Amino acid sequence: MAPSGSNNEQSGQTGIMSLRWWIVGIGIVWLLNAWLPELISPYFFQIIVLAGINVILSVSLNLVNGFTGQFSMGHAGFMSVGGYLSAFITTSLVASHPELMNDPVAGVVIFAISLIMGGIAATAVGYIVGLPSLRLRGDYLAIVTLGFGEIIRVIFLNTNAVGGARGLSGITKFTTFGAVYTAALITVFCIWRVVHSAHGRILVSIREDEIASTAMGVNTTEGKVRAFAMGAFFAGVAGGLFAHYLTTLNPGTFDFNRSFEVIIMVVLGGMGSISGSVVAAIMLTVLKEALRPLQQLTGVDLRMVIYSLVLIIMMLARPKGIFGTSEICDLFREKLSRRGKHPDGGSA
Amino acid sequence: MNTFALRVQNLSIVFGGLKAVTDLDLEIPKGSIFGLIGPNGAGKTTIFNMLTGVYTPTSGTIIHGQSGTSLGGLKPYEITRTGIARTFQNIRLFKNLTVLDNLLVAMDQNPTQKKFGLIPTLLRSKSLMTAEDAKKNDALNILKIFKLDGRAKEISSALPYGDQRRLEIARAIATGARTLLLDEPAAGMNAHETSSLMDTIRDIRATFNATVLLIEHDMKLVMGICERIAVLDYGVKIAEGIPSDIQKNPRVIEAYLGKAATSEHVKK
Amino acid sequence: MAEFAQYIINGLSQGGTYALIALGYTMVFGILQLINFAHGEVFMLGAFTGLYTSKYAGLAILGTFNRLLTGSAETASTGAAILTAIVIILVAMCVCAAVGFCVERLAYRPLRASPRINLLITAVGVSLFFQNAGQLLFGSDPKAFPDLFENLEPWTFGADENLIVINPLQVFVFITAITLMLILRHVIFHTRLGRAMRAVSFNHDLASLMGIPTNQIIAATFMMGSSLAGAAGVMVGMTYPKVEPLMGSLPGLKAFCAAVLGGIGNVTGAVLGSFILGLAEALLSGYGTPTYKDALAFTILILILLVKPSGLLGVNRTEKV
Repeated sequence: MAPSGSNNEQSGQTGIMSLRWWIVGIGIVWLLNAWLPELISPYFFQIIVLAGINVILSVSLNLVNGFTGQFSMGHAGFMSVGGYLSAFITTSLVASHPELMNDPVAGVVIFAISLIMGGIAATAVGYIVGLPSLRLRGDYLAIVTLGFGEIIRVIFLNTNAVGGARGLSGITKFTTFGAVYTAALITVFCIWRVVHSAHGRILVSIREDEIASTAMGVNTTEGKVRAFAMGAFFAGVAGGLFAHYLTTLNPGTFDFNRSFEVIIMVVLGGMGSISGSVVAAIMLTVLKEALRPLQQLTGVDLRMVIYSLVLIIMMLARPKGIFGTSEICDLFREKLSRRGKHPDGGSA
Repeated sequence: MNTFALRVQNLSIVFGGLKAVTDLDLEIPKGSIFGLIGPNGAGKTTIFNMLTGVYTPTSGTIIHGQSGTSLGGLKPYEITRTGIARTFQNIRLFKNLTVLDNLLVAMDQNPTQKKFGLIPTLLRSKSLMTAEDAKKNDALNILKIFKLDGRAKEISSALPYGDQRRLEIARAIATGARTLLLDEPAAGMNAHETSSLMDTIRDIRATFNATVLLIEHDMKLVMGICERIAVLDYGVKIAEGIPSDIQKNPRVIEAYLGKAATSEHVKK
Repeated sequence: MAEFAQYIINGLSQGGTYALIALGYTMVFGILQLINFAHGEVFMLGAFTGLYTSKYAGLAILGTFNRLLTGSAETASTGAAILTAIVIILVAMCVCAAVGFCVERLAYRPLRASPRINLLITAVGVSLFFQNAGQLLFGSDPKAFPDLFENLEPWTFGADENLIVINPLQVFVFITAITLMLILRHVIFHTRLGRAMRAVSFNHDLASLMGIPTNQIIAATFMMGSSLAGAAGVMVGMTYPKVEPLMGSLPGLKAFCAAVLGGIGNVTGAVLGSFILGLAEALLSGYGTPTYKDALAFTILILILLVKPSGLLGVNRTEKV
């Protein structure tokens, strides 16, 4: 039996998960930010940016679907809340104070604030959606989150402030490599720390056995709603990044297929494995591009057919996903210890 | 301060016309080991479910001695936080968590534990890390009493059956509760494990000054460690008293073995 | 007043469609506690089966019935039209029953012992597979449903401002929904199969210990539910008259909301909830804002989960601890 490894990382400010390394990481991202667009073709640059956004989405959804064991299908809905709100903030500011745009620092600050506001709005919506459905045991969350995506779409369709059916266009292209990967690093860091804390233990206990968890004094509804709201926050931020990359939004931008793409990333990487989600997000973003020639050849979009088949076959053959609930570093550690020491005798 | 840990008055529950428990009165003395016995389907687990808030009684009151308050209307997790914790007939561990983590989940909910918000969690503040270390130490100390400290890092579902049952009791203790409801703690254990379990139950009563209410079919264990026993049949309490009286009680013998049975059979 | 009556009629016929889909949802949920996301897609496949049957055999069937009833293949009669519709619906019901059987056998049964969440993910996968495979197979553009009943005049009542138009197909949908529901109720409560279904839904293991062939009962439930969705698909195709591969997902989800509103697992509740939803949507489009119509079902779902999670006719089931 593999060691869980889940608490091995709890020993504080050392190791790869220490705060110091992550700040260094963000520094490297900003160094690359200045160079990268000139080094590689715009096509690859786009794949890299989208991969970063997908990492944010899959890791944050994993908090809900993987670690807490609830099944949300509304990640795209939260994306759209964050995307629309942050785009609305920046476009109205740009319209009323065009001089701000000449100041690069002001631009970055406004963008960051708009992203956070988008995240907060998504969190608030997450509470409203999560409270009624997470009180109940069972699969209601799945259908409510799915319906919620529809409600949001209809609301945006009927809101003239964000362009109604025409959508929102002329959004400034604030999203850069640096912005996406800073957000991605912060997301992974925050979720890692939460999962490996007392709060995270509560979430995992809900996944493992909700009745036992309640019997141990855990307010399971509160735990679920918190995880759900936190997941929604990062989805909202990702939505903002996406909006400021596309520069146009319409109510159909964040349809159910987007939610589904994120779900398959989480399932493929392993529900309960952060590194699995990261790997799967990058893999599927690349795969999507790799499948494009096939689409041109056959004239039809085979991608979703393949995705859905992968999902079904995965559930039938390896429901744990690639990494199960363990992390990449656990697998390395296991390999090292197997080579270094005699086989572990305690595997009863 | 009350002299009882739990007092139950006129407790009844009806499931769609079926009276599962009828007008139950029960007083569990503080610091005692109290046995709840009766044939299958007598309503023992149903009583546990009412005491822990899983089922809402149709009528009656439950008073918690420690706080002197009624438990009526409280949610299961709120009842646990008042100091009553349970184990389950069909073991309900957090299967994919380590033995240690199983305990830590319970300890996190202990009302005396300091709670940390999101920011200290993200930054791993010094006080949080100290609190975590202290928590881990406390957990290991509890595990030591159950002789499970050597397996702290193992996945709980990999433990042998008897150890899993003991881990459930350890986890209940870790919530900080001092009134423990054990649902068939010896089920599936062999004679050796059972007798060591009896020692453990006595140990935890002494160490934690706990009150133990247990459901059990193993008469050796019940008669061996319980100071008082209540007998249930068809949801009605038919007898209560010290073990030697219960063994001789004709109504109890009748409930277990039918009429025309003698006390000799019960002793076995 | 006539306006109102018209909305009620439209609502009842829409509700009838929801009811047929909701019945399948509620049956499968009752027996497996699974939200069968693919159910809306079965409905879509039913519509396509109806479309191709009508296209290639519709006129022949209609002609045969006309000849039988009036003596001439050319003379149109309402009776022949209804009989033709019934034949097409039966074909779609058979095809959908087969689809339901295959889905259960290949995708759900192997997972019955695994965690519920895996089953749910698979259901989502199956649903998306049908949606996208459907686009590959049928093309993603809407297809017109052949109009076999062009001679069928709508019934009109009143005139001018007070004009009420009733499409005979709407009445047909309503009556079929009620009839199938009554048959289903009879099957569930008064036959051996129904008793077995109720037993399995109560407890799989106990039922199989009692000698009930659990697998067959579950398969039968899927087939019955799927055939009802197939019937609904054909009827929507005939009344709406457009069919496309993504047509199933929204009505499917709405029907699920209706089933929850009525009390999931409860056959009468599913029908009641569906009619309430159909009427509410019709009135909202009529008097309020039609653009909000598609959000109504989910708003109702969230509200009912807040107020009475067990639904209008449902009873609280206590989970055994």
